[in-house]
Amino acid sequence: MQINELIEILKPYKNKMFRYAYSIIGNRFEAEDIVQEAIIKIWKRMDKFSEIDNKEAWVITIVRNLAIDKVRAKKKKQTSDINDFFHISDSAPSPDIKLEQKDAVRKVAEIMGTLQETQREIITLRDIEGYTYQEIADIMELKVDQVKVYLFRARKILREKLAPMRKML
Amino acid sequence: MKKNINQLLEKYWKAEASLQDEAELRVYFSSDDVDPAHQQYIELFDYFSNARLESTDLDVENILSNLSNIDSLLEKYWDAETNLEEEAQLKAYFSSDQVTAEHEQYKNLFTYFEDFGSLTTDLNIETILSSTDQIDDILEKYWAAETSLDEEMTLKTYFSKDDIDEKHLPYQSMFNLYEIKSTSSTDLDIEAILSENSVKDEQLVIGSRLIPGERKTKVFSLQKWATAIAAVFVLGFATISLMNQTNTTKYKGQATVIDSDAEAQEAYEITKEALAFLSKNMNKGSKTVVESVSKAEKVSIFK
Repeated sequence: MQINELIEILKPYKNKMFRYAYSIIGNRFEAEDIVQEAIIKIWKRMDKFSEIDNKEAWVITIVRNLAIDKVRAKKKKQTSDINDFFHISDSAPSPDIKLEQKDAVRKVAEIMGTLQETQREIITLRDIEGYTYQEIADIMELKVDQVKVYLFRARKILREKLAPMRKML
Repeated sequence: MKKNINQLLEKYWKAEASLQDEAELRVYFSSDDVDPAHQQYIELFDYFSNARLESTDLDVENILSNLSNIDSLLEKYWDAETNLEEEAQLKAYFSSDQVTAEHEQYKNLFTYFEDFGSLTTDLNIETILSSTDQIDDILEKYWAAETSLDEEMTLKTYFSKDDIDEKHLPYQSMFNLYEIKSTSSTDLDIEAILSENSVKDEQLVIGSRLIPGERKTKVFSLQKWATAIAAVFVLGFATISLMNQTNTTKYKGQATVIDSDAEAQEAYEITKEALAFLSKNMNKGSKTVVESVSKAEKVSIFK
């Protein structure tokens, strides 16, 4: 496979890769670093790339692994260096500045932040990126049933936490 | 008739007309018997009559069933039983203006999904991949000592990453060492060093220019040291030669002593000439050389 072919294949996934990394790491710049690293990693395995059936899922899996490694490294650092504690956000990222100005959506971002990492990932893959259960299972190396259970629990939490917002509206 | 219409109109303007009164007015103004005194109101009542005929394609039944459908879709959604198409319907509903109050609390969730899903990055895949592809080229130039500072910076940045190409791993430690060396520091206090080594004006090296009132550092003259070392070697050589000659004469008789004296004198002359030559060419070491020559002469006296 030529490098130009690889570029054309990766282009449609670029923003998905970025959003997924962003949803895990919670920082735009670090998410972009992860995407760069992922692209280089894919390039290094370019010879195997043509053999992969679901390229998109494979690409997203690479992003996921890199992002999780980074989160773990940050958590390790967090425990060793209390001064860096406040650089690590526990909440899910707010999509952009415009949205950050919207209290209600920020509130949703906070609720998303209360989800377990796996639950949040699955919500992102399903509700934001629109992957099938099978694709999510492939990306996250889970069984389809497990994906559904995680999704069910995640949505249950969202529903319970969103319901009181009706009174505020 | 006209009087009755006038009364109805008065009630109408005062907002006291009943629905029956207003219906009578509409019938009157839509007839051909409108009194010229009422002509100016024909268009108004025509407008009302026409507006009442306006209709909508809205299907109440459909709306209600849709709402019911949204409810059931939402239930399925919370139970993680919706398919992608149903989730797309929910997204479309929550992004519309028809969200009912009972669903309002979930609107922000779907807005969050939609907005997050529209996030993009400016990362350029070509740039990322081409820069990676270029590493080999830049490395080749680096080994040939043809890289620019920018290219070397590219290499340093590349090798500072954890995830580099396997074939480049052997060079990583080298570039990392450069990086460490370039950032290593010392606690040495330049100011303290300079002040320790500085001397007052009167200790200045001979021949160096002095700005009044300035303090200058000691200057070590390489020429002077070279001259002194050369002189020591020559003197050492001469002394050893002379001592050898002295020892030899004890066993070989007077004639030999005469020959040795002549040779020693010759060696002395040569040494003297050499030292004079050095002295001539090295002005700053002249004093030292002259002293050396004097010492050599003393040696010849002892002979």
